[in-house]
Amino acid sequence: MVIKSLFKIYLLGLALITCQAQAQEALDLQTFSQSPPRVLEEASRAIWKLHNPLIQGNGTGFFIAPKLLITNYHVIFSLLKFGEFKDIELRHNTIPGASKINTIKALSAELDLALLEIDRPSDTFLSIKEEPVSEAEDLFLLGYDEKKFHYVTKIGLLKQNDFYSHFHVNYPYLKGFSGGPVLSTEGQITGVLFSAISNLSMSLNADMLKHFIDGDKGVHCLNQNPEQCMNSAKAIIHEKAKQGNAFAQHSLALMYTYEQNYEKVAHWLKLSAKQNFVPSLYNLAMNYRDGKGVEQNYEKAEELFKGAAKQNFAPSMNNLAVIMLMA
Amino acid sequence: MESNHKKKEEAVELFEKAEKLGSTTAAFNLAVMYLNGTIVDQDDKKAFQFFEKATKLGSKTAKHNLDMMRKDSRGM
Repeated sequence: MVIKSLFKIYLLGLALITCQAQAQEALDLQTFSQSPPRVLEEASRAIWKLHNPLIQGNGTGFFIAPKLLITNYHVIFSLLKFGEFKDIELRHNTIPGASKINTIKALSAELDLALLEIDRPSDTFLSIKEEPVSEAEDLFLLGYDEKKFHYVTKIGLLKQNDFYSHFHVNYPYLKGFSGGPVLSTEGQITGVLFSAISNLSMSLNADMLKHFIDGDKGVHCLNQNPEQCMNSAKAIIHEKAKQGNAFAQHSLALMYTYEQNYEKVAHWLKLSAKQNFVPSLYNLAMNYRDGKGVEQNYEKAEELFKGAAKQNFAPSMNNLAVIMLMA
Repeated sequence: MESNHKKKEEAVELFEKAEKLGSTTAAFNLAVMYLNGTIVDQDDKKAFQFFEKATKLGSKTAKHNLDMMRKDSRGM
């Protein structure tokens, strides 16, 4: 028994160089897949799964008014890649039946947000927390993966970045959670999960969500059909990215990952990383490390990881340390 | 040789900083390093503490290792 245990540990030691990924995969979601704590029980009624039964993959969305649902732009974008609007379904883990999207009210490819009108009203909807999220606060992630509803409790906030209005949550990227809310202990919205090029959990600040809902950000599609609205949003993100908006450049790179066009991904990440945008520094570093869309280059990866580590971004510190130990 | 040593020290510092920021990966890596005495001096007690922390942050593998260490009465 002793030998076995030491052997297991020894093997893990050997795996040190690659263990960031393994350690993350080993996180146990099962413990969190029962019903959420009472404070979040009601809030969870407002959180729905978006999927297209014809294709794999899903996203998460949440109601902010009886018929208004927020999700990520890239969730809609990817569900529409192989389907039509009428194919997209909304389902809940405890509420029976499926809902459909009536129309798109607003989109922002830059902030990765979509505001949808749903055909069936929800009895529960979430409110936005007025105060900004603090580093000492307990946060909750709620969302759906392919199989079921999960909640993740007591995640910490790693780094608040005021300028870019997003924060990184201390939990690896969860497939299907895109568009899901980050909730406070009172069940109020403190952020929206987005961005997952390299297994990162980034969240948009609730403040930006508020601007989007109020109409200060994004395209509002009053008399447009969904397809026209998608096209307007696409045109705008290209324009903003060309003008040098780092957030837009990063979001555009994300869209190209769905098309598996890694050269274009690298092109936009490079421009965004030049402006020290943390997710882009990190993602581009990963691409240099793995030779994805660019020629493999550990020196460049190191430099970029350093840039994100300087901004207190913990995943970048881990990867930087591993690269330094390999040298 | 000198710079190699410095790089190793810097790498450990980076893991420590990330661990303080609440990174599960960093806690896990530090635990394995202390357990095996790779890069740092072998220290069962520290290994145990970092596995404990990584377990609290949700790492299944850390929990397994922690159980194994407990079984062998190491680092407690």
